[in-house]
Amino acid sequence: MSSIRFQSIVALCFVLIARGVSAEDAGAALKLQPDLTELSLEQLTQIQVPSVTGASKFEQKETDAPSSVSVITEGDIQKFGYRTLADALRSEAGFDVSYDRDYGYIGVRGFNRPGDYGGRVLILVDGEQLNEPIYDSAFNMTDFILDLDLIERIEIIRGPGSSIYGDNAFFAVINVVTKSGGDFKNGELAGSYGTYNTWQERLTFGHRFESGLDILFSGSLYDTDGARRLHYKEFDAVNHGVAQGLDGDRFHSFFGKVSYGDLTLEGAYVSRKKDVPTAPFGTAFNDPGYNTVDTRAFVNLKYEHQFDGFGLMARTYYDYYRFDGDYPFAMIGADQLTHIIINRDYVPAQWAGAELQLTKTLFDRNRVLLGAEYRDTFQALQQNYDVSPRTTYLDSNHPTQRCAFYLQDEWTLSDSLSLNVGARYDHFSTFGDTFNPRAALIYHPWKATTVKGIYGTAFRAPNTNESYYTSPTQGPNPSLQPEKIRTFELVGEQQLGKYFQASLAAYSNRISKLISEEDDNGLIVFQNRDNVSARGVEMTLESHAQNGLSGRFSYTLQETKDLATGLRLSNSPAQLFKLNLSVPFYSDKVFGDLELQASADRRTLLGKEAEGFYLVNFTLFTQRLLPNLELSASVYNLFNAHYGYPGAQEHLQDVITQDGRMFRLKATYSF
Amino acid sequence: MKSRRRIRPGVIIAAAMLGTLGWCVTVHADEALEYRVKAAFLFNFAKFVEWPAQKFTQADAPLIVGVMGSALINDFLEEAVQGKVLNEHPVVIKRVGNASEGRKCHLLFVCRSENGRSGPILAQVKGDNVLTVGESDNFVARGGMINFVTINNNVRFEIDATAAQKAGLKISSKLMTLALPSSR
Repeated sequence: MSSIRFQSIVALCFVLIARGVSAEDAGAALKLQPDLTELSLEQLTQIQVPSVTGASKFEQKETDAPSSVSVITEGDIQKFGYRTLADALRSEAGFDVSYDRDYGYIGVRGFNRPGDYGGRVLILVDGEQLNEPIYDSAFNMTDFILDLDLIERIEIIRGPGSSIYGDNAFFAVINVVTKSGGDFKNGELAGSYGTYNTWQERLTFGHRFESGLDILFSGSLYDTDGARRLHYKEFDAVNHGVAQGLDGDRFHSFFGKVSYGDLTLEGAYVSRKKDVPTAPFGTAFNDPGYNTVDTRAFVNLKYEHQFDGFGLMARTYYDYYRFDGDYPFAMIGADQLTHIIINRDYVPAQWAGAELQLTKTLFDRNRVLLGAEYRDTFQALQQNYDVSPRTTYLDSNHPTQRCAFYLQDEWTLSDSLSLNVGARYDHFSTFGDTFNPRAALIYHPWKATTVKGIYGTAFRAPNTNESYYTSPTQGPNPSLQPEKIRTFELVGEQQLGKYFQASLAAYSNRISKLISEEDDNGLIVFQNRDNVSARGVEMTLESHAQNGLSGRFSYTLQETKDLATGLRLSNSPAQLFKLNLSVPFYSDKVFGDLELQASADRRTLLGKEAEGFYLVNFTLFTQRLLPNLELSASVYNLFNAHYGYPGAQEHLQDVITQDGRMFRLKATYSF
Repeated sequence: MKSRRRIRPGVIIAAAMLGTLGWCVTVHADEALEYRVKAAFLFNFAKFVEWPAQKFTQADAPLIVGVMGSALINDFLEEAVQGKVLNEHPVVIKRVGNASEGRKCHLLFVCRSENGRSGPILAQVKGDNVLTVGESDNFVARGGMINFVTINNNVRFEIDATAAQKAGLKISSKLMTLALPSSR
């Protein structure tokens, strides 16, 4: 990026910071920390103190969690104008989300191979696992099951999590915690409009009654035309390489949560249809026929109670996933004319299960967690056929079952040292058993310092698509084994003075038995074949001011290597840099929020480079300026950087270019 | 052909300076916030509890708040009570390591890291009019009087009024109304 643009960003930051610093000035020196003893008891009970639930399934403060953890709050989501979970994750150290005009793919610590479906990150909503059994997808864009406004916080737990969560908790666990009815007076109405005729609407009803009954119901709609003209030079032979009006995206979603006493009933649904302009898999270019529909839903019932001496959590769930894909192929018919034949995927899956958890404190120093889970995926159907003339290529159903036991002990060795040890045993009806331990030593040598040493393993089970998908060009492999990762990590967290918190994490990952496509005499088959090492360092600095000024900055160095070829992995940038700055312009009512993200070059599948880039996003956010109204105006990719992510095997494009400058206006009215 | 764009070191240094520069002096980390809030609560508890007359040797004897465990809350308490006086009693903070030191306190706070050792200490300070406060799941079950609980990211507390009464302490109804219902 040119030095002029960079200097203007620097200038912008200085202006913002100067503004933020002077916002609280009353001519006198800046206010020091207010005396909390001046507050009344009622006021003290209102203060929000962040905590983390996902890291080891206890309510736990971030510095005590046995992992490197960070939290994105609902305030962050509104202030920085995050449109999707992907936007929120992109602000996190070590995270990178690429997009191919169909799905977003979450990369963690340098690992984001083009073509992988993202099953190495586990996404939870209130403890409910979102990854589906066919493709393991970790939906994070308009296909994500929740409207972002319903999120109370997102906990990002880096490192192996299979010792508690089992499958998919390979690189990270992302635990999304939803709001409750009590967070609303009676409800909210929200609407937003953005570039490419993007509309989103939401209506929420939420209330907590005197009796303790808490209800929340919400529905959202989204529709965008997408980029109207996309040029791909690889397709210059067709319509000059322009895909016209083929980037549309729409979804509708619902969420409901009812809780009373120890019981909570929760359900969610999303159905999202995306038009795909990139013509992957050799489909016809600039044809409106290519689209993918992903539908995901769940219902769960949870009971939680703290008895005299032990805690109990029991839950049962039912999940549904359906994928519908339409693919237009150009065929030359007997009449020498080109006909479009639509090939269709119909892939429904349903599963249900139950989980039980007991927590107990033993010998005064051990907090023990014991859990068991059973899951039956009773439908995992893959159908593929040409619509007309009707020719069926695949029609198979492969139900599977799994059960698991896990145990974790949080052992307080002394007032500055604790050991968190756990392991989980999983049995899958497909491949058999896997055992995954984790141990973390957490040490507070002095009051403001935490040092953690973590070792753990995690796995990703082969999914239905990898094991059983069959077509004229692809063969099944039912004897696939799970992928494994072994991690060593050292984390240091330090409060600097009373105003900053810094952390440094160094990790070394050894990944083996990666499931990849292999060409077996013209037939593509998935095999456990790749081994990768990934090492890196993540540095973060965070601070929060009394007047609302807050910031987060991270820099990561990451090195990945395919152990067979000795080459860096594709789509693995060596450096990532992120900065988030939230500046109060006027009391706690108006904020200017700046985001800066930079990435180094990435290798593509053809061995070329997708060039490094800088992205700047800015949001002006207001609350309580007008009664019951929150307004925001956001600009994304302010300097219109031209950048792209590497394409996968199915793309003719080596690099898939991303959107330029976009904007969004949003209003939320609460009643 | 554009030159390769690696992130130049200068950018990082500039950004680091940017990041630290102007970040207001008045900031604090999140874990500290929890303990600052609890320190403020402890000071408030002292305001709403009445000790029997014999607990104070004279009219302006210090009101001793003992802390077992974390040094962090100790510092915040020092800061919170600096120079403050309750009913003519100057408030003083003490680190407590054993039962005999605990007996001398008016209010004893047991950090969660110390919870393993708190049982015997709670038993031994029973007869000495000490208000015991903790932050662990089973603190009240072991004989503690007030326990901090975090619910929905708010710091709340539960009170065992009977235990306090048995220790000769009178808890103001104002404090009782803000406490969580005792059977959770």
